[in-house]
This record gives sequence, structure tokens and C-alpha cells, in this order.
Amino acid sequence: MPHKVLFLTLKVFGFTGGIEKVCRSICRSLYDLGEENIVEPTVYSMYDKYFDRDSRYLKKQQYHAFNEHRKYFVIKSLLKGIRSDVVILSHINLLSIGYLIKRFSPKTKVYLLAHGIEIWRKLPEPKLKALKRLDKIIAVSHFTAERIKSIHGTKEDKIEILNNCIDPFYFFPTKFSKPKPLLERYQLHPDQKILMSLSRVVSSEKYKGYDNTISILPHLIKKYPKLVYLIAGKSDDEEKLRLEKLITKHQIANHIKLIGFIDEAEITDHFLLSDIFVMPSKKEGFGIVFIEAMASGLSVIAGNKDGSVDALKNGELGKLVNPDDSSEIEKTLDELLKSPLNDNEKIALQKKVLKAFSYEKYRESIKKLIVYGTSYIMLL
Amino acid sequence: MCRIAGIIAQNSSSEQLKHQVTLMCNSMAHGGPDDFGVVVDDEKKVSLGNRRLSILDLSAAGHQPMFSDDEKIVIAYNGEIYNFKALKEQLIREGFHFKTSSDTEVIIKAYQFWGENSFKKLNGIFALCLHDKTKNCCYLVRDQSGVKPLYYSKNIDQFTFASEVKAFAHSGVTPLGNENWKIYYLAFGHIPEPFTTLKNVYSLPKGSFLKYQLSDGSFKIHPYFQFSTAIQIIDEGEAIIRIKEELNKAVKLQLISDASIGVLFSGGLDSSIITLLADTYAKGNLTSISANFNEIDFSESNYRQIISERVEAGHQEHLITYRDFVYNFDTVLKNMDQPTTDGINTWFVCKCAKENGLKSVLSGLGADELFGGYPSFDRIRKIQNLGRISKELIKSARFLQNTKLNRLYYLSFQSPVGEYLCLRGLYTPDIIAKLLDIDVQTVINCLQNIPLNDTIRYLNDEERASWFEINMYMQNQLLKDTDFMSMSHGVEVRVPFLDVNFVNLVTSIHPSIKFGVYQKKRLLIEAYKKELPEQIFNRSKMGFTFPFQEWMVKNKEISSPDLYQNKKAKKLITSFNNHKLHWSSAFALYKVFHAS
Repeated sequence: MPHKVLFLTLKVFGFTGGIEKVCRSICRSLYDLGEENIVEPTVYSMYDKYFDRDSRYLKKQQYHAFNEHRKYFVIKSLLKGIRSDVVILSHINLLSIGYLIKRFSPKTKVYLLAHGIEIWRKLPEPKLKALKRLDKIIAVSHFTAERIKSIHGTKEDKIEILNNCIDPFYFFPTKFSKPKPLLERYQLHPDQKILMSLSRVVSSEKYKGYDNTISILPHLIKKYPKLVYLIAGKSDDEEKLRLEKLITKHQIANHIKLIGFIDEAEITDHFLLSDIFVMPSKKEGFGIVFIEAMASGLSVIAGNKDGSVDALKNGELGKLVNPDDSSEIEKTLDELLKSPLNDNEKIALQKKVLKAFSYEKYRESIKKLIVYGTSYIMLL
Repeated sequence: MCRIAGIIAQNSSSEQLKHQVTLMCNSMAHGGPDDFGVVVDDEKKVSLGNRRLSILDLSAAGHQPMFSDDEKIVIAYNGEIYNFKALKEQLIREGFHFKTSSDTEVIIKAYQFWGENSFKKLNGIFALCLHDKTKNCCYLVRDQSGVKPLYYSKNIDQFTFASEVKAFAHSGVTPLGNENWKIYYLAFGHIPEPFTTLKNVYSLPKGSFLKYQLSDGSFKIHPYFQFSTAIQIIDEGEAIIRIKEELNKAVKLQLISDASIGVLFSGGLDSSIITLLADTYAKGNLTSISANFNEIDFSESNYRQIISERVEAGHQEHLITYRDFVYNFDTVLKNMDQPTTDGINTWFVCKCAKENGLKSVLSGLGADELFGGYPSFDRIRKIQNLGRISKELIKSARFLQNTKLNRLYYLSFQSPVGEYLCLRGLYTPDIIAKLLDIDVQTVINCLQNIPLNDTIRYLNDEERASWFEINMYMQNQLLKDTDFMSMSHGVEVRVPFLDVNFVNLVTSIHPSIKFGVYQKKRLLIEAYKKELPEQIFNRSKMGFTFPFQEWMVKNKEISSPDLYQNKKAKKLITSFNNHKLHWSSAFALYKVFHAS
């Protein structure tokens, strides 16, 4: 008999953030396991609209979007949840539903995915109580796991670490030359050194660290006069204006391009266009963007004070820096600019990243979690 | 299979003609990458050109334009004559000698022997120009099913023809745009024959030849063939035997090739039948080509697997992703000879065929139209009944919110074009008027004045739907798209269901046994029930479709409302993003506002 699995989410397809990317990988894992007749998956999304579904990730019959009808979502989740073997909550905000499911159906295993800042802060008492009732908390990184332990006092055996994975449909390059159409689009020369960051460029997410990179750019330009920094990601007007002022202040307008939203189809090529992916962020739960950049053979600089440490495998795959130390960031950038990776090194990096964070490995962990109640089990 | 072009202009120099025809041919080089030839008759100022894609007789002997032995006839020809060997034998018996093993030479000699009557003896897909120096005339001829295109234009100084409309831009005469093309396109999703995007450039009707008199520059179009409409088969058993006989024959005949051949295999009923039949005759020397998708809803690989296990043919499955769509989109648009909302799928599968070294592929095109595979066959009776109520009442349908119901407005048209547009149209006249900022009556007049063959007057029910699908949808959209999209990769698509004998047979079967009430394409299924696995004929119809709805919404180049200045277009694109508009309608807006 396949395991009945209910995956409860806020959004899966209606938004493109880290949490949603994790949800999509889980959806596809559930679909694949469904095809193997190991699970019988159902995915509920509270805020998605019915047409948001990306049909690469799961079947129409496996997905129900509630279009912001929260009450209806709660009732349906409860009814479905108590008849399920496993319920996975994609976000702490769904905790109360998980708690109720557990109350009405104690044999149903309820797992919560813990990503980053949403669970790093203190929780009110009822939520803490509910958290304790869950069967397991699946943290996306060691950093998140540690925060949960220290802030919420959750016991070690209740937490499992399951690092995120590269999207199952990520395009892995086999050639690493800079794509001509993008060089033309941004009026860049193949010999120019290019730095890149990719995140939402919004006032609420300043912790991504692009301010620091901007501030050290004038120094680097002295050494590398043709250096260009591409800030990619959807921006809001307020933040865009602030950045433009900052760029004017540093007099580096010729060296920075706010390239905005990048279509999914062009992400890999933007990584190929760049020489270093630099995002010394402070509040990453994990940082899928780092592993995807490295999967394109790109050198990465990330912060050493959050979940990025897991994404860079403690520095084995890329450079970890103190995100508050501009001179360290500058020094590291200088080092990487001086000694760029050759194609063989890029292929080696790609292989290492794939070995650590492949979708197939992730799906196997999800399978173990559902079937055996833990992803840590080693099967012979 | 080639591309042809030519100019007749008494007042031009031979050098000038040669130059222009060369330019025209070069603009279509993708469809004829293997060879090029141009000839000019210095006295009559007739210039013919050909870009060759060699499939039969790969040697230089098949070079075109080709002359008759006495050099009194010269021909530029695009296509395949499947029965050329039988005709050749017949002509040899009549005393003709052949120098080459090409089908081109057979056409010349057939013409020498039978004259204009030779055209109807050709079984194949073809468009040709034949210059008869003795009779001082030129013929443009197009095949019976209208598979191969042929466009012509006449002005005071010159007569021009070509396989693609795009080539006319190189004819030395600056072509004027057809001011109505956007109306046609937004209503139909394509430009209906005989019109094109260019003023005075027309499509030659299928089964017709155009005779151009070099003495006075006059021309006349003569139909040389029409499919029979007389019902001859009323017994289902007989129909099944004959269907199998003729289709098997057609597939066998169409496998003739001196280059590698394949089959476009989606996993649907029609392409499964063609694959199974072709496999029987190709004896392992066949490759089936399929497109696959990451998008679960669109993947038919499970169905293909069932057939693949039963055939010897090598199977090539190509994954086509959103990334491929984005990266090839501009090229696809560039290769689109005429605006259409279809054909992108054909472009991709033919690209795959090309990558597998194939020059010719068989396709299941035509079966839906002949045997009733479309929803129009269910809707036609309702449409006919609605057409009988007050035209004024019907007009109020344009105020309805639902876009499908909205199209009922078209039933207020006097012309049967209205019925077709009600079944398959994109936008209603009031929306088109708003989109193009013109008067509604202009739109209505333009659409009502599209000429239609008289045959439609006498047809009802499923036969009427079939006529619309064959003569409008398939003719103006499917075949046209398939031709220019496949030829952009130098791949020829052959269509056994449109074999002249097969179509003649199917049109002679009584509709009550041909069209099923509860099962689509019932008779075709009955004919091949033994050969086909049950999963194939019992599956729901999917059509040859790609995940365009998802891809186009995702691609902001198409779906961002900010890109559209026109208020109505902006509003429609917003509904597209909310999945209230079909991708083909959204794509039409993109084409009209951004890619024309």
C-alpha cells in the first residue's frame, strides 16, 4: 500500500523564493515516488491559484490550490491530514494545522520543514507547545538546526538535517564559455571580469549583502578597471532608488548593472557569463542559489554566519567570509579574480556540487523520511 | 523536395532576371541546401530557379531546373512524385528514354506525352513551374491536396512565383503589404488562402494549374482535380477493407526515398498507425522521432513505449524544455513564412529529425480532418441549429463574457466563413476592431468577403465540419505551417493520410459509418483495431500539443502587459496571465504587436 502523504504549503508556484523552490523539489519527489507506487501524494497550497501549477512538478490531480481561501484550506487540510500517513508542513505558519492533525490522528506522522529566519525568532508559548507535538523538524541546514535547538529548546533527536537540492530541471552546462547573446545584451567584453549576485532586491531583504559588495567595488576597480558587478533579481522601486543613489555616491555607475528579473531559462547562462558569484549574506537558511551557481562551475563567495555554510560545504566548494568584514570580502574577491577556475576545475566543482546536492539524492532522503521516518537511515 | 522561384518579365535583362531569381532562391536556401540552379530564356525572359533538397536521385543528374531532351521544356519543381516509377514504366512502354532516375524527368516526359492531362496522373506532393517553349506558355501546378505551397504575383511588368511569400521581397518589385492581413490573422490565427501578407501575392489553389501565356502576359487558373463527393461505400466492412488497402498502399509508396527516412511519432492514434504501417514496409530501416517534455501533463512517452515495443524502427525521443523554447523562439518566428498561431511544434520536431540525419518524415496529419477527430464534429449540429435563429439575436453573443460563447457572434455572418470562425476563430470582430483601432464594419466586410468554394453549400453535419477542417483549418494552417517549419530545417514532411487515392476513398464513404457518435475516428479505429494496442485507441485525444500555455505565460517577452500599448491588448494579455485566454490568442497579439 502506498503511503498517503499530504504536503501542506503556503505557496509553491505563485512566487519564486527559496522556500517555494524547496517545495517544488518536494512536489517532484512526491510525484516520482507516486509513479513508483511508494506514496500517494496530495499537495495543498493555501495561496496559489489553480492555474499557478507548473506541470513539471506534479500532476493536476495531486495538487489543490486554495486561492487564499484560508478557512477552506484549513478544513480540507484537517480532513485530509487525519486520513494521511504522513503530513509535511512547508512552513511554521502551518504549525497549528499540523498540531490539530496530530491531536485527532496521533498515528499520522507530522513533519515541519524549517528553512531560515521564519523559525529563528522566538515563538509564543502555544506555538512552542505545538512544535513539541510534531514528530520531526526537518532543518535545511546545520545553522537552522542549531538555532532551533538553542532558541526553542528542541531536542536533538527531534531534528533532522536535510540540505536543499538543485532544482530537478536545472540546466547543467557542459561548456563554460561566456554566452555571446548575454555579452551583447549587457554590452560586455569577454575579457571583462564579472561579479554577480542574484536575490530579490527589496528593502526588506538587505541582509543579502550586496551593499557590502558595492562599497568595496571602488577599491577593486582600481585593480581591475573593467570590472562589472551584475545585480540580478526582481527589485522594488524603493530599493532600486536607494541602490541607484548608492551607486552614484560611489561613482561606479559604469561598473554596476541592475539587470532585474532573470527568466528561469537564462539563469545558467547568467552564471556562465559571470566570474564570481558573490553574496555575503547574513540570514540565509541555506541558499539554493549558491549551489546552482556552483553547478554552473562558478566560484562562490558566501557569508559564514548562516546556512550558507552548508551550501558551500564548510568552504569545501566555495569561499566563506565574514559578511561584516569588508576587507575580508575584498581580499577574497581579489584572490579569486587573480586565479580564475579553468574548465577542468569548473567541471570538478560541478561534479562535487552534484554529488552533494543532487535532486536524486534529495528524493531518496524524502523517500526514507516517508517510509522509515528518518532520512538518516542507510539502506544496504 | 526543394524550393522554387521564378520571374517572367519581358522588359528586364537576362542578367537582371538571373540576379533576382538567385536572390529569391537564396532567401529560401534552408529548404534546399544541397544544390542551386537558375536558368533564363533570353528570348522570352523566363527565369526559373531551384534550391534542391535531394531525396530521390541524390546525384548531380537530378539538378534543376531540368530541360527536356529537346530543350523545349524546362521545369523547376518542388516535391515528390510517389508514383513516378509506375509512370516511368508506362512512358518507357510508350517509347520514352530516361537519362536520370529522378522523378523530375518523369514529370517532363509525362507532360510531353499527356500534356495538361499529365498533372492529374501525378500522385504526390508537388508545386512546379513548367515552361513550354513550343506552346509559348508557362504552367504553375500545385498538388491535389495542397501540401506544397505555391505563390504568385502579377503586375504590369512582371509575373513572379515562389514557394515562400518571403521570397517576393527579393523579386525586384517592392511588394506592398496586404492591409487586411492583421484582420485575417486575429480572426483565424492564420492568413486564409488565397491571401497572403502581401498585396497582390496569392496562393495557387490546390489541384489547379495556372497557365500563363507568354504572348500577351495573360493567365488563367484551371482546376485539374477535385475530390469526389459522390457516396459509393455504404457498407462498413467494405469501407474497412478499402481503408486498410489504400492506406497501406499510400504508406508503402511514400516510403520511397534515396535518403534516410523517419516518422513523426507522437503516441497518438494517427501517428501510431503510420508508425506501425511504415515499420512493416521499411523492414527496420526507419527512425521514429518524438518530442518529450518535463511537463507531466504533456508527456506521452508511456503510450509511445507500447508501440515502440512492437516495432523494429529505431526510436529517438527528444526532450524539449522551456529553455529550448526561449532560446529558439526568435529563430522560429524568423522561419515563419506567414503568420500563424501554430507550427512551433512542427519546427521543434523537425529540428530533432534533422539532428538525427533524416531528410524525410511521415506524419499522421490529415486523419483528424477526414475521420472526425476534432471537437468541431460534435459542435457542428448545434452550430447549424443556432445559425437558423435570428441574426440580430445571435449578434448579442458578443456581449457574453466567455470567449468561446463570444464567437457565436460569427453565426450572424451570411458567409459560411462565420461558421468556421465560430468553431475555430480567435477574436470576434469587435475585439479585432479595438485591437487594430479600426471600424467593426471594416472587419466584418473583410471577413465576409473571403471567397469559399461552392461545395460547402451542399454539405451538412459532420461532412460540413470535415469540409471546414480540410479546406480551411488544414489547408490554411496545418499544411502551410508544416511546410515552412519543416523546410526551415531542410526536412520534408510526407502525409500518407492525404494520399490522393486515400482521400478520394474516404470522401466516398457514407458519413453514417465514417463518423462515430460515441467514439472519435471510429472507422479508422475499427480498421486498425487488430494492429493497435487497446491503450492507444481508448486513450483521450491530446493532439500534437506542446506546453505553450505554461511556457508563454512564463516568458515575459510575450506575457508582460506592459509591453502592449493598445488598451485592449493589454487587457487581453492580463487575462492570459490569469489563464482566461488560450495561448494561441495571446501569441497572435504578440505577433501583431511585436513581431510583425
